[in-house]
Amino acid sequence: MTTTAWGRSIRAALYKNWRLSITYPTWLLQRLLSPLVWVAIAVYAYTGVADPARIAEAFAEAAGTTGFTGFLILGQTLFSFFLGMNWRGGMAIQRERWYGTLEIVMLAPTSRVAFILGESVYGLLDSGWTVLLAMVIAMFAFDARFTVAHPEAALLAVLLALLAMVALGVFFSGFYLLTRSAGPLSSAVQAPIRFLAGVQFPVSALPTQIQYASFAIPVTYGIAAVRRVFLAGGDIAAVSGELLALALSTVVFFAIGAYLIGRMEKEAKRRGTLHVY
Amino acid sequence: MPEPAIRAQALVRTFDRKPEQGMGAAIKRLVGRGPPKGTITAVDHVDLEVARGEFFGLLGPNGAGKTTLVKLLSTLLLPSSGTAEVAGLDVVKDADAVRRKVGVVLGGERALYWRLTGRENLWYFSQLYDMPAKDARRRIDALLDVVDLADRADERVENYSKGMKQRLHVARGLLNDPDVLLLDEPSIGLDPHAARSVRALVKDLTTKHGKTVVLTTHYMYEADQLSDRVAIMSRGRILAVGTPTELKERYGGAHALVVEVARAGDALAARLGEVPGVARATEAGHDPARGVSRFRLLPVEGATENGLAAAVAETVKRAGASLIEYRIDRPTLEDAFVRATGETLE
Repeated sequence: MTTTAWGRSIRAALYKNWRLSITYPTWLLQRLLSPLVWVAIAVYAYTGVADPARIAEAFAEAAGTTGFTGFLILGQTLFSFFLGMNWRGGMAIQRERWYGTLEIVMLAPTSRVAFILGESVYGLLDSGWTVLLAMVIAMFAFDARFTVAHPEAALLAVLLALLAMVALGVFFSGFYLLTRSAGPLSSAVQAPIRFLAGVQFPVSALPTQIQYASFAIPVTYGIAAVRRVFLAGGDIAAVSGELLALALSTVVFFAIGAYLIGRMEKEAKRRGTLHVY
Repeated sequence: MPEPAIRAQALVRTFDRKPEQGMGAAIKRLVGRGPPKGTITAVDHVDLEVARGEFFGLLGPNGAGKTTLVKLLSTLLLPSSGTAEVAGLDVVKDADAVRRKVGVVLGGERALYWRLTGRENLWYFSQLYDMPAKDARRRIDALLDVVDLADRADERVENYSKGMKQRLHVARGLLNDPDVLLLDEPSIGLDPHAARSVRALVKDLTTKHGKTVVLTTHYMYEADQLSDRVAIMSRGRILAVGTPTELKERYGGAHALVVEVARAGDALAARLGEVPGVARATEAGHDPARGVSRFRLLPVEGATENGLAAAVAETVKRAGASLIEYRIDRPTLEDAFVRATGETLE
């Protein structure tokens, strides 16, 4: 399949999803409110038990930054991107089953990975602007300050974090196909990843054994890298470990996802379950 | 001899029998008292050749294996054994190339994005088929004209009638200008007017556009009117192939009898079927305004018309009904189907 064909498949997914999403305008409410409310919950959970100066002091020791509201906002921003990928890329095949269109999509001579990649990229753009808007509101509401001393590090950290999320979307898509239970599984992974990735607290607060699980998830590295460059003014060297982990996880999750998608399509055709949800 | 558009050899597709669901069934299976595991053979050693440019009908009742055969030919299912080629390409080894050559129209109302317009649906699929934007726009406009949806193209599909959705399905199936079009029950659930319009549309695909068309249907009339050749399919097997005329001559018998009766009870069809010399009797229609039911009787070979007429009249009388009309009719494709399979098409 040519790169032009991949491009057309991705563009088709963007077009279809955009046209479909404008027919469901009420989703906007959830997309804007949810990240704001999650940040607010975490902020008030901290400020409800100690005054901000003491919290800042404790955060400096545990997370290397006094800006705990920024810490929470960045954690939620990255996690919201993950949710967008999980829903769009991960659920892509299952959603077509719901629409009743999976078989005709599978009749097209297009790469299945390109199709899912398109859905993931749409998830990135779609969740992107709402999440960023919500986070800007949160910044002003909770007086968060960011210090970007090295823009190239910030750009690289954000780019690699997002790429890792897209690869995770492709991986989840193949993984969910294994079970034909994409809906429940996609919901089931959300809370554990929110917990393990340190969205609302430093990962170092977790017991060591649980931290092993945290560091198996690319979202953890993405959040850590972005926090370090946006809150502590870190340069590329300061986040090189996280960047390497993100790059590696992108390759690994994308490869496993692509393999699973191909394998599962063949298996569904063998068992005759392509149209069943 | 030119290569056929479709060739299947000893094609078999089986499915695992689905286990009974629920806790009770699970316990029964655990203690070895569940139903035996097994397979269902949906397509059973099918041999088939369809010539290029031919309109080929697959006639059979629900569950005959027609849709499974279409899915095998369109690469949506893998065969359990045997081989199939479409446009000279193997459906397993060259699946991607087959998908470029084939268009598929699956029956029913789903398989479209209801919240998109007809044009948006076609645009989306044109891009999955790797069509350059300019070509896609031109092709979509042309196809919307062909399926007579140009003036409703920018309305959401959820506002379309069943017939319009089906015509949009046909347009989608033609987007890639396929050599072979597989139509699975395209007129199912449509009102007579919409069904007529879809039939006219698909007939044009061979006569005006030179496509090879395979149409599955359980409507005898549809197969008879549209097809150059028809395969009679039952329980996964193809039992007979020929032109509609050949099949009627081969299997339809010398003639059929049409009996119109007033005040027919529920059991009359069964009683007519037991008349000596009648191979099968089916209720072929009912006119509630007149209170008249119509039955179609297939005589056994060699049955004499006079003897039959008397026996039928006597049976109707004994059932408390009144004989309105008794006439001899030419055999139909459905008669041929019934004789070839021993089943009805419903």
